[in-house]
Amino acid sequence: MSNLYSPLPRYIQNSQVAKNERPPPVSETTRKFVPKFVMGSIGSTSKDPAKIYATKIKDKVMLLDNPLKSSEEKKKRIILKKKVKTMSAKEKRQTRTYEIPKECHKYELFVPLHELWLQYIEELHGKSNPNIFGQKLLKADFHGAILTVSKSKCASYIGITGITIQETENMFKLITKDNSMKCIPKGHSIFTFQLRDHMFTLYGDQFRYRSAIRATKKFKNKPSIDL
Amino acid sequence: MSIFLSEPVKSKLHISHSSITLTKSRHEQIILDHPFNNNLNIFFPSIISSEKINLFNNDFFYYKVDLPLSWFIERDFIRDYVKSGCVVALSLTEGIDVADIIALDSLGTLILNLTKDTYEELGLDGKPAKFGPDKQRFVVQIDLKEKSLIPGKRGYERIKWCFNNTLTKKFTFLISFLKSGTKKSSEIDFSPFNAEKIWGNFDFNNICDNILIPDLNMIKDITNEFQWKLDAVEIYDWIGLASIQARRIKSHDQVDPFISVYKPPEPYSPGNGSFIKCTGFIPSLTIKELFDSVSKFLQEDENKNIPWAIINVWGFKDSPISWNKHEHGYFMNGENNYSFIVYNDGTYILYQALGTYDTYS
Repeated sequence: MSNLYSPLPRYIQNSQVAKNERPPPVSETTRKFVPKFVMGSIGSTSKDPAKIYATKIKDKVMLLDNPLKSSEEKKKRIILKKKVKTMSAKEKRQTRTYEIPKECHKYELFVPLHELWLQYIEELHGKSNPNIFGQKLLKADFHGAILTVSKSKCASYIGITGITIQETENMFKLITKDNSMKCIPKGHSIFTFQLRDHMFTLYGDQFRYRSAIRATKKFKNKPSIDL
Repeated sequence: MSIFLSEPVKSKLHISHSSITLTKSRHEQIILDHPFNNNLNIFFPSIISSEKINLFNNDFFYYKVDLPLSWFIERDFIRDYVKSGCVVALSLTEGIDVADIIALDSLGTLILNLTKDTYEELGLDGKPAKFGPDKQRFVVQIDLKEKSLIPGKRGYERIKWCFNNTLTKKFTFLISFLKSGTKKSSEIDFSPFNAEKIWGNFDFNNICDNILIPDLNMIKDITNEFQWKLDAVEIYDWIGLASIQARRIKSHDQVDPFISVYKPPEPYSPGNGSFIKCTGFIPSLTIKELFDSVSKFLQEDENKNIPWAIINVWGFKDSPISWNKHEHGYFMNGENNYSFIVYNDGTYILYQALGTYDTYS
């Protein structure tokens, strides 16, 4: 299993770009003057001025004055900001940005995503108790989770298992083991997934938000009566 | 009350008149298409000697066994039993309006009448039930005799997966099996499940003496259709009282008119009667053979002193179908009963009583 927080691989550390990284150029007089000056001026207030210098000032770039920008520069920046263009929903649809091409409908392609999700959810779970974890799950990301449809109004959805590759407001898109993509509406369905030795149930009807909105939304307790 | 019901509750009674000598006669079909029979009794308007009554001894047996549904779609079961005879099964559960009912009819169709919860977990396609609150029950039908139902095909694998993964619960079934050659109850191999074998018991010693018996010859022929209907319904009342051996039809009954003012349909005469009774999970072929032997007995009787006989059959009230795959439910009562009045010249009158929730008509 690959680790999300491992150090950079060696080939990057040894690359030419990494070797060219140098501290900022400092003139000889400054290098001699600054340590003495700083340590001398704070010497009366702290016990170990050398240490403070080493941790807070050495090898760091500090702006000593805060120059005002000219009005022309300001105008330029505003114009630049305005030029950032986003695609409209229609354009996104036309260019098929969010569609997954057919040649990518392969289960193996998404196994690493599932492994990544497992790390993520393990970390999210931590040592929290089930109640708190339930709250966390509401806001969790499900891309990469293996979901199973356990109950549905439509009989043919029942039993479909696969890795979630996309979540929209009303859909989960799953890749099944036989390499086909199934789009399953969240409404009128109940999903389950397994984590360690626990089975979790997602009531699709109450889950009908985009994942970005879901992360910030405040959920209220609602009874699930019927599909 | 009309506040709760859009229209008044109606039970149905179908009366038909025909003769077994006619080629178009439906009596065999009516008996054979009614798969789940709980109770049977035959009434003769005289006392029949014990040698003669043994003509009607037609032994049968059935099983009571807990089975998972996957047992029914095993190839061995379909080959050895469904295709080589007539298997009928009905689950014994709480009731068709509250629980799941599974039935296998004589044509080899597995009928699952399910509550909404079970249906939504099952994963097989079905139709909403005709009766009861809208879309609260569903009916799934699987034809076990279908050619495409073989391992490897998608449909079969899906059914198998569903029965192995979603609906794994065991149901208590009553099962009977008649081999097509012998037309007798035959053994079923249930291993590894434990089955209880139950013999259907006939009770021949039921004699009602001193009862008032109406003259059934008055409805034998139809002269005035309207009058005939009224008479036939009155006779049906009497048949009901006779079958429970009510005291109201005894000739010496002196009941306070405040309790009952019942009088048997006129003209009546005092006489004796005898009953053959049978309870259990009665295969329809057995009933058909009994029907044949009753009509044969009436025709071959030397003295012709038994002019007619009555055969009453009560179906299981919670069965999911009544006749011929017509959907059945339980509202006020789950009646699906029929009665034959058989005359000694082959004429018969057939009564079919159905509760409100039934699509047969």
